[in-house]
Amino acid sequence: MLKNYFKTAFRSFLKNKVITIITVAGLAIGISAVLVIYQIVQYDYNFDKYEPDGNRIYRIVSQGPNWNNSGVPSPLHEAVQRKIAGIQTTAAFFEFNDWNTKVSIPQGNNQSPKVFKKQQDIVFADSSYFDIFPHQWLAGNATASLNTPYQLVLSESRAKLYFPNLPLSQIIGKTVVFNDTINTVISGIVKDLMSATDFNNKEFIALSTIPNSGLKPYYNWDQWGNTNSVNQLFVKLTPGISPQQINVQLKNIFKASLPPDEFNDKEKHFLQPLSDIHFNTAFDGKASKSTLHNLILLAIFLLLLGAINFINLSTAQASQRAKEVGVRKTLGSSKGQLISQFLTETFLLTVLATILSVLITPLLLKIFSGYTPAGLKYAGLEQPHVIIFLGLLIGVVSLLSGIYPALIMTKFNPVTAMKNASSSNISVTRSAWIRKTLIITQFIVAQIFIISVLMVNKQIHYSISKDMGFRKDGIINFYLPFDFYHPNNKKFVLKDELQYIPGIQIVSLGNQSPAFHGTMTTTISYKEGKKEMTILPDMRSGDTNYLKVYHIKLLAGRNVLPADSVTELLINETLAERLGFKRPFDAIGKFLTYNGSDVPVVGVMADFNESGVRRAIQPLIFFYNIKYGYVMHIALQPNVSAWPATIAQIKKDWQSVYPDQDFDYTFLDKTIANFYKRDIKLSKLLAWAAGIAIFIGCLGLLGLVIFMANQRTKEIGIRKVLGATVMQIITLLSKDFMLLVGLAFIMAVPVAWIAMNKWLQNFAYHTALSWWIFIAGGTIMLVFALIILCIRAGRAAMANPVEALRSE
Amino acid sequence: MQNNMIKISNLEKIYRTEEVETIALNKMNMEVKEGEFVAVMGPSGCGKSTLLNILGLLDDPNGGSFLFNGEEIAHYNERQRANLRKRTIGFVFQSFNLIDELTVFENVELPLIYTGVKASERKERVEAALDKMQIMHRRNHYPQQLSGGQQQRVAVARAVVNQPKLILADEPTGNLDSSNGNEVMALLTDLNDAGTTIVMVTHSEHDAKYAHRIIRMLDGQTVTESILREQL
Repeated sequence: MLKNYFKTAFRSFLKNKVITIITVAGLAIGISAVLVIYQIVQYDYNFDKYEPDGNRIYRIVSQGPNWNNSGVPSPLHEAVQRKIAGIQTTAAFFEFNDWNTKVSIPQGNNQSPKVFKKQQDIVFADSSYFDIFPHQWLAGNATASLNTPYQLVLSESRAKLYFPNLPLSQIIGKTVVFNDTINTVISGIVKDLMSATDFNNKEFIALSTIPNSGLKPYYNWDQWGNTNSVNQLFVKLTPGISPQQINVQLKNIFKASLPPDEFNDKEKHFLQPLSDIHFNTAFDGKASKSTLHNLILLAIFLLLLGAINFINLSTAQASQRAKEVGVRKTLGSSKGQLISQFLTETFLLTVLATILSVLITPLLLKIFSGYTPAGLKYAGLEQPHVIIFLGLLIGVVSLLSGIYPALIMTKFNPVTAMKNASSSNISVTRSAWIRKTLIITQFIVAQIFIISVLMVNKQIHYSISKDMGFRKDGIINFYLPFDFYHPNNKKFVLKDELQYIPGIQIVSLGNQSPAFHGTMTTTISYKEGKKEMTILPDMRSGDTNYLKVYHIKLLAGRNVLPADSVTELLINETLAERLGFKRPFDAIGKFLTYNGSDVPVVGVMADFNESGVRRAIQPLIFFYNIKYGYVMHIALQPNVSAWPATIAQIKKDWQSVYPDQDFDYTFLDKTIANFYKRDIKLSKLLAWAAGIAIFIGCLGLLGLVIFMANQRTKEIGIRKVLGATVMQIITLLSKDFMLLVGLAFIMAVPVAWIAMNKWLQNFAYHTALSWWIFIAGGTIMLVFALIILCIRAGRAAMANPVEALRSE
Repeated sequence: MQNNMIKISNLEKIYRTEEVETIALNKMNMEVKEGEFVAVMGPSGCGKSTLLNILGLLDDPNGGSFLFNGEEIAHYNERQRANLRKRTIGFVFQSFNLIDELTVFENVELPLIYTGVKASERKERVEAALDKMQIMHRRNHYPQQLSGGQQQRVAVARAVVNQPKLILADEPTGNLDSSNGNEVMALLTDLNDAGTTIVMVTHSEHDAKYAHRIIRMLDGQTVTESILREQL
């Protein structure tokens, strides 16, 4: 029986090659999209699943009225161990808080050490770290390895990097120096983690190193009042203990440990489940569940499009199969047998499409590498979960796309079905409205995607080209080495040297540029009579050149003057207004309380955006400060062709001042464009989705036109004999379809409008939701549909009518 | 005296559309004995095809009684009808109704598949049927590659492969030239001689003469019956 089904199926595919290819292609694209998205989702949902008893592992996090922090105050670690009941294991680790950690490996007496710059994933931890995050020990062991200060455990990869020619056992006892100051001795080596984890640390320095070294103040070792995300604290609860029980005790600890005037009821510390860590973006989670949900939705959409195609084409073809159904019924086939026969066909096509998808998915993952998580590798068929998923997918898709056409076809009355195809058209036209609905659905989805792409791109263009209130072209920035242990004057030396480079207009030393990715805020208060106002403005600082580099206008007053401490403030227009000054000039000479002292306002700056256009312009203060300046701001001469030479000179100067450090710079306009990386990503993703949706939709359209042209061959022949022109025939065949596309447009517009309007609300400054976006979107869709229609309808229209009539 | 294989009494079939009601069978009565060869004749629209469809269990009557081998089957549901049909009835159509995607062999094999015959036995029986119809040499061809007469021989082979007790033929020679038509009629007569009951709808007086008995219909009723020769 099954063999007979397969045989019929294959021959029917061969007979209708084009339709089969169209169907399989549509399904394959949908399935590929699902496969890619499945891998992304699967990857993200598999984070930190390897830890034993993961459901009892929590991270203690901190939360205030307006902030979230994944870390805790340093002393909490010890307090939790001593005072909280119900905890089985406590593990604290402190990230090595330096963006440019230098690791040196001494090479014996006369040789200079081997140096590795910018090493990442270094933490201070004790042996209990490995109780919560187990690693396989290749040398040494957990209990003996991290108990005394200056012990170091390396991952296998780092051990091989630092000591490429030594066997692991001989690496134990070697010295590794961090930032020229922390001399550690290797006491153990662990295997690198193979499982997906957010805690993929590679080097572990004994936690007790901190209190026994100059690092103690740097990590606020004894301070209950400071919360820093580099101080992470994990606990594993005793079985049967609820997180609430621990949360209550945590509150009591803070109440007991902080002076009464510092204890704030609104500041909370609580347990965050391990399973929440990867997804909770408020606490530095790397993945967003809502993004994943949107991706899943997208996958379902694309799969639906493919299935819709299938349903459309097979119901359209139904009348061709009518005779076969009739014959089979006459010969004694039951309805169930016929349904299983047609489902077998669908199943075969789905399998074919799935095989195709599996072949093209690695390619797709490559194309989409920008959107997939960095660690995601193609999990091919060797992964059992992929096979199970594919199996389920094949089942679902087969049923989804096969059941309706199967039911339609088996409903045929054998007597009418066998007489001839045209009389069975009655039942086919009954399903025509369903086909039309399906086509409209496909085009609505495609249309919404197209309009969204256009809109998102318009907003990106607006964001990038918006006048932000400061100069952003021809400006380069670079960070200066943050030398915590040896403060020195090198940066001033560099700045002086840079001033002599002819390609540079002007140089300023300060903190962040006017707009950067992030925020920097402080507190000021203003007293006027009895009224006292406290405001949280953004802040920038720098030397007297800062305003000149960025062409920031002064609306009133003057620029700041050099000073050793904060003695004068500039404020922006928004802050002036917030403080109640009608004209900028009115603010000049008023005193604001900053950092405990009253400081006069000497100037009011024109407003500029302090970050991307998502955030409205905030009140801002600017003051003179070069001591803590860590960013160099350089305005280049306008002659673009001279820039490479100028940058080469800057690099030369840098190397003479910082021979150990690499020179990394960024162009400010590129940095600003990077604010919108997320939006650009969204736009590209939408463009792909739109492309796929159009493609699948057009495939479906093509299939239907082919089918219709075949069905109406005789009619077209007669019309031509009677004098119809090619154009008239094309119009005849295309009219209905164009109407459907038009209807889809009308239905897509409100949905797209609502969605895009909602999206634009994410931006404090956004472009208009212009009517032409919708018209353009509709036109694009229409053009694609027309091209498809004309190709096939044109062929039908140009065929020789004699052939058409003879074949009947 | 043979038993009645088919006995219909007061059989009614009415087709209703929104505007018109067409009475296809109007309290029709008819009997067919086991081993008989009956030709049904009449002008277009007299109800012959409807009768054949009901006899073939492809359609159900609106009223009356239908005894098949003595059992009332007018009330049978689709599954029961399909079951009875595949075991006892073979069909031969004017337009052959072979499945284009299947070869000659596979077309003939189809009824056996539906009755659940084992593959080895199927091969034997299909080959025997093809042999008998002298179409064995075309076993691996597709219907489109055959002439009309060859296609109808395949259709007859398919109708008989299950060794049905009853063959229903709907204008079996309608699409054939006279020599091919005669061949098909000879095949049917041979089958009848071997014991198969045949009911044939035809327009052709020539073909009707092969039958034992001719039933002439008009407006959904039997008008005359003429016995041509006695059943052996």
